[in-house]
Amino acid sequence: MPFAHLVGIFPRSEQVVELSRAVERRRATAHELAAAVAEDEARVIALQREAGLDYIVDGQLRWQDLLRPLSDGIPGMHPGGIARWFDNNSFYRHPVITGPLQPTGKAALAVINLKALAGLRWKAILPSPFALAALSENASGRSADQVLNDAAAVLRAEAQALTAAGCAYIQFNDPALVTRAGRADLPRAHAALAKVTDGLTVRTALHTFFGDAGPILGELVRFPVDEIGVDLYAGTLNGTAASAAGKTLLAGALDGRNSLIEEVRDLVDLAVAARDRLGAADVALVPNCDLELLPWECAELKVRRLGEAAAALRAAK
Amino acid sequence: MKVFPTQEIGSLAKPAWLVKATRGQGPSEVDLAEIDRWAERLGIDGTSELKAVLNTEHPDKERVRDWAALFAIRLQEVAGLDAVYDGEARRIEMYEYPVRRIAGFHFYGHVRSFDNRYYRKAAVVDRVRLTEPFHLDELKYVKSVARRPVKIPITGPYTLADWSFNEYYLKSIDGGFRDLKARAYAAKRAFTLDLATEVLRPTLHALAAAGADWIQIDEPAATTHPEEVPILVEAFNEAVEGVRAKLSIHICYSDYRRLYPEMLKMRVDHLALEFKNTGDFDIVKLFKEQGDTRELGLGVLDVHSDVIETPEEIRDKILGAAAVLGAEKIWANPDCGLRTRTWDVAFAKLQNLVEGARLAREALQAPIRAGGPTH
Repeated sequence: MPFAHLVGIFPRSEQVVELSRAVERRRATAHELAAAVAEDEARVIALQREAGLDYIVDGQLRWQDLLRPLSDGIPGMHPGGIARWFDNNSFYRHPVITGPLQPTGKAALAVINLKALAGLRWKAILPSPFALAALSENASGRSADQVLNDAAAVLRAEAQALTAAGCAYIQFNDPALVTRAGRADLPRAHAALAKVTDGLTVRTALHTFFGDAGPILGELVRFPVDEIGVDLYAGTLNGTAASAAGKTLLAGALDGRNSLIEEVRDLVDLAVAARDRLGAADVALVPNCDLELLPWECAELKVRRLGEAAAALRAAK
Repeated sequence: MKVFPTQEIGSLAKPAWLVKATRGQGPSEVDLAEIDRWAERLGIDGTSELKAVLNTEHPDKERVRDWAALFAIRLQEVAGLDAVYDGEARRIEMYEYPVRRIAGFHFYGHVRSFDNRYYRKAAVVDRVRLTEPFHLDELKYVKSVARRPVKIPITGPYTLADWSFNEYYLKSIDGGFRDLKARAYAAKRAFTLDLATEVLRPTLHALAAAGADWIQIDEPAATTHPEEVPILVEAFNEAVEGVRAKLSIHICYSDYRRLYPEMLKMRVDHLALEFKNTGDFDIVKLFKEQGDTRELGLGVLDVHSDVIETPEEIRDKILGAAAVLGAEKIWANPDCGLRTRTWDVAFAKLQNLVEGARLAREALQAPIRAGGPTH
């Protein structure tokens, strides 16, 4: 029974920040930077294990943003200009789709440190097909539905490759669904995700953030995944009559957008209240979003606090 | 005053010799040649003193900054702008510089902006308090050397709050932990209003007392959270309470529709906005529809492109906006500060800005000379 894990990209350490600048100024080599990133991955993994988290990630430290491994590695798309990452003072390169997307099953694995994760129960995090399509510029001349289908095929190949590589849990991130989508988009998003998860043998989740999932929770709980994640800082869920029976709720109670360290009691109360309100089969404590919007030192403290809260939640069961 | 005056918005790129001097490094031969090239182009004399300062073991950084400010001012004046400043030559950038002068903040490590770009983001850990009004020395220097009217830019309270972590005010809000969104809103409002009243207001008063006739308050975060526009407006009005100067607000890379109707309550004289980047000049109709009769600074230069906009293109954009809002309301400017462009590109863009405005005035006069406008 899971109690806590991470949901996105971890910040880079001050050492890696300095080295990446030094590489640009030709005062350090790419090899030195890669070695420092690998050290950070080992630290992030050790941190999660010390905190007792249930699924382990490598911190996605080689991911420049959620979509970049795909826009870098999938034929038919490339990274475009800088665009604001929702309502944050951070940015991503929006993918530009120029033709039919060709699944490879290699894009995510190229930036995951399998060696460091060997022997651990590890999770992978991908964009949902709807998020990939919605956050890309369609310059292909193909219809929006064709692009969404392509995105689903790409992500299905990625998910299958991750499963074959030993991944125990795949989470699909979708901030677009709760911020930019209309209700009419939900069936399309549902169908696209179904094409990805159909027949997958690992546990799956759809995690939403930066927007209030409450108004669409009734639809979200029917998406073809085992777990549904919500950002408790973006809405209260008070207005929803939806039931999450049969699902595990990922309660985004740890704020990845503020440095203030939460109290254990508050985290547990939030998770339990959300679970009870929605009648979820189970609940796991997670950050509401990637922790990369924090400096490393704050993210590290938050992970430790998440572990303490998970222990309290476990004891309360 | 003539119609279609021109202005810069804020920062220019920092010359290599300035950056090196602030790091304690001496100038290269290329840097010294650049000083000569720009001094000749801008009609600046006496640069042997600058070179002497740069070549000392421990350069007088303030003196170097004076020189950098002088070059930036002259660049804008020679380009022909009607309102100038110093290209923010003394400021690290628009967030960290003021925050370092406000008690109550603590800087943690870096946060990623994108790719391998990072910035330092502070957390407010105590009630904010102004340690000393800032920008006074730079204003004094600019006014002592500028030959054109001066407009001073300053970062606004909402953007300072939005770009910071909020610890102190979140802890101070008594409202339980259940409605996190409502609690965060209340904490953001308290933080922003404290910045407005305890930091910005005394600073703006000090600047006005020091002779600032026109103050531009920069709020690039204005529409990041549309539901917080009331906080933006309330804080702006609190900050400028009693300030006797022309006041403008600069907003960029935003959806201006999200500002209205709340924006009509803002006590501001001039809106300096970005238009060229989005290419959506039709949005000027929004101001007409909303009954917003304040001056509009029309962004007609893309600050993220080296393409030099033509005077004719700029003229047409100005005339298009004037046809909607009235010629007397329109200023012309870059979308934002030109700090990401080289001085050669920035200078060429600003020269064309001035020429485009002149062509627009000429076009406006033409029907009058021919016997008055026809409809």
